[in-house]
Formats: sequence, C-alpha cells, structure tokens
Amino acid sequence: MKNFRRMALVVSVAALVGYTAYSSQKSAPMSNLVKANIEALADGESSYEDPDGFPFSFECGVKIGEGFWGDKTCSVTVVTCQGGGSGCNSRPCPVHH
Amino acid sequence: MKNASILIVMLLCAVLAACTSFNPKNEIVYDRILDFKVNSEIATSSFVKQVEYIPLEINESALFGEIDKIIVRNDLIYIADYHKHGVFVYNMKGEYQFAVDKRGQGPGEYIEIKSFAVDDRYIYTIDNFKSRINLYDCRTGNFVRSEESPIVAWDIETLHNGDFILAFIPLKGGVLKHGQPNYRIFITDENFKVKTSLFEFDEDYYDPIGQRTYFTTTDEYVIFGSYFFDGFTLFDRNNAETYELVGMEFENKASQRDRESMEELRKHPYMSGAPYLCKQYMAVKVAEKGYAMSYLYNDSIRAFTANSKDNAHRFLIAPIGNYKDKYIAQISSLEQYNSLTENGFSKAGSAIENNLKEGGYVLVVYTMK
Repeated sequence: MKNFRRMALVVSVAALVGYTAYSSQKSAPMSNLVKANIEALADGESSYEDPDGFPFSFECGVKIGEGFWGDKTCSVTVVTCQGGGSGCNSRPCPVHH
Repeated sequence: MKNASILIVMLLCAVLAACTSFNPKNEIVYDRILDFKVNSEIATSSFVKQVEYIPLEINESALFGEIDKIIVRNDLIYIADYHKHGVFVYNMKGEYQFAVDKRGQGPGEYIEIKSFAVDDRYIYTIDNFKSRINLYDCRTGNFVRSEESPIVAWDIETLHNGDFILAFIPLKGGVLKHGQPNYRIFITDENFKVKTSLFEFDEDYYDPIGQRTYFTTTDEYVIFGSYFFDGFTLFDRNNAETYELVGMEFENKASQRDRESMEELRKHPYMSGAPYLCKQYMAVKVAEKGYAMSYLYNDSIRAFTANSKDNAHRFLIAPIGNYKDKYIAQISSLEQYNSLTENGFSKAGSAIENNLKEGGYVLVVYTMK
C-alpha cells in the first residue's frame, strides 16, 4: 500500500508538472471554440474514470524552439491513465492540454 | 509503386545473408546499420519537389488538441487525438466528414481510443479498458461491431492478408491487470487470435518512456520502433513474420543501461519515434540536448541530410505521416507559420492564415522528388 501511494504521488506530481509546463508553453492563440472544447473535455474526464488504469508516460513534446530550423522540445514527462492496467486509479486522469 | 519501395528493396538486398536476432537478453543483431553522419553539403529541401497546404476545417464536431496518429487512406485523412478520445476524418481538401468520438458504455462506445488503424473497410480502434477492438465503417464512421482484444496493445496496424499487427511495450510503473506473454509484437489473424509473438522481453524490462505511436506504414511495410534501440523493424505487410532489423549508429550513443531512464538517455543522441518511409527516403527525428531535429535519409546517396539553418525554403517540418510519394507535417500555430514564412517558406493563402489565427491546424503536404 505504501509503495502504491508513493507511485500514485510520483505519477500525480509528474502529471501536474507536465500539465503546468505544457500549459505555460502553449502560446498559440486559441479560438473560443477550441477553448470551450478543451474545458468541456477536462470537465468530462472524471466521469469515465476506470479503476483499471495503466500509467502511460510520454514526452510532452511541446515545441519551444528558438528558431524555425529546430524544435527545442519540452522534456517533461506526461503521465496519463490508460486502459489495461491495475494501479493507476483513485484519481482523475491527468489532463495535459 | 516501384518508386515507393526503392528504399525498402535496397535495404532488403543488403541483408539477404544477414541473420536477425532480437532476444530477451537485450542483444540485438541488426540486418543493417545506418551510420548517422549528416552530409552538410546537401540540404533536405533539395529532395522536396512541392509544398502544399491543407487547412483542417474547424467546427464544433471537429475539434482536437493534438494529432497523435494520422492515416491517409480511401481518399480521406484520419486523425486521432487519444486525449480527446476521437478519430476525426477529413477529405483531402480538409473539409470535415465525420468522427468516431462517442465515449460511454453503449454499443460502439468506448472508454478510450489507445490507437487506431484503417483499411478499405473499417476503422479499428483499441479500447484497453474494455479489452475490445471496435470496428467502424471507414467511410461513414458508423459502428459495425466489437471484437475481444487478445492483449493490451499500444498500437495496431493492418496487414494485407487481413491479419493485424499489435504492439505492447512494458513501461516503468505500469502493471497489467491481466497477465500476457512478454512479447512486444503480436501478429493476429483476422479474428484477432494471436498467431505469432515476437521480440520477447525480460520480466524486469521496460522502456524509459512511451510513444504516442509505435507503427508507421508504407503500402508494403509496417515500420516498428520503440526506445529499446535506435533503429526500426520492417514488417512485410504481405507476410509480417518476415522482418528486418535496421539500426542507427550514433557517436556517443546511449547504452542499454542509459535507456533505463530518460534522464540518462537525454544525455545522448537518440531516435525519437518510428521513422516515416517514403520512396527512397526515411524521415527520422533525432533528439539531442533538448532539441528534436528532423533528418532525412536518402538511400540513393546513402546519406543523412538536415534542413538548412539559413533558409526555410521547402523546409521539411518533422513528418507525422506519409502516403504515396508524400510526407505530411503540421503547422500548429501562427507563430510557427510566421517564423517559417519570414525565412523563405511558401506563404499560404488568407484562408489558411485565418485558420491558424483561429487556433486551427494546417497540414503541410510535401511531394518528394
């Protein structure tokens, strides 16, 4: 149980950091339509929560490059709760938009 | 068709006598190794014949945040956003057609779309929460039926004989609810019964991080790549049990131990994702020191090339898909568009610029020489 709590904490912190970094770096203007969609998506996330989650990690991949020629990418790891696993539960899936 | 397989044929010819190995002890014997040395005399743009734009229509039904996987087939563009849990379909002009986007517990509804594939009949989506693969009509999006998924899978692709190829990669901290054999690749029949399992891994093995997709395709091949090694595997879509392993050799390459964590891996150059093959070209993203750069390998001259740093004329944005003799990339912000066009990239019309101002997506289609 202790290990599980520790893992859940690590995953949550990583996701929070990822989400924060992602949000702060995504500077492209968004239409109201797009924003409304993202908010609706975030709101609806918890209603489909499933106890059998797999903490699936990936690089956020947001481009923060300084020149057109290269993509300096965010190196934050984003963790989402995806199907097939056992243990990524008891919390809403992280949102990284 | 012949042109489209030039790279593949050359790769295969080079490895006829080679022996393939990919065993659970993490020892790999490659069929061919590509030495990553960039030819600074040639810019990638010299292999691009034409650049075109496709603005994707924005409306309330066609909204997504990120493109996780894109497939062009049946004269349609299928785009998946796994976080939005949808597959959004456009015609080749970028006009919205339909979407598979119904989450829930009813027929044809799902908890997640982990990945998807398309053939000339169906869209196949993976829902690992329900252990199902859902089939939808590829031209209407109407639900057809569900099949039980034999494994938890991160990606799926179709084979020409009606079989499927599925990928599962173990990841740190992830525990499967139900056990499954320790293999990365599963080839199934048309009813999703496993026929062959490939690329066994040790009980304690895991990739340092996941990928949005593990497969890319050409008409003839499914290309598989993970963080397990710098390189990729070519599966023949006519006989997926025939495959070739191609490695990428870097200076200061990461060791197997370095691959146990992203912190260590990021100290080295590494391949980021499976490459996209098109004609004699292979587009690959190489990450190093926080930068992910797009490179093109041209098998005709056996060399890697990079984009010019002085001029964005025919600049090859890192591809996210390919079909026929074309690469597909995306421009996801007005800022990126402005940066490119101020440095020589082809300007788009006002409709496309307005799309970007509205926060929409624009695809860039490159026809390769």
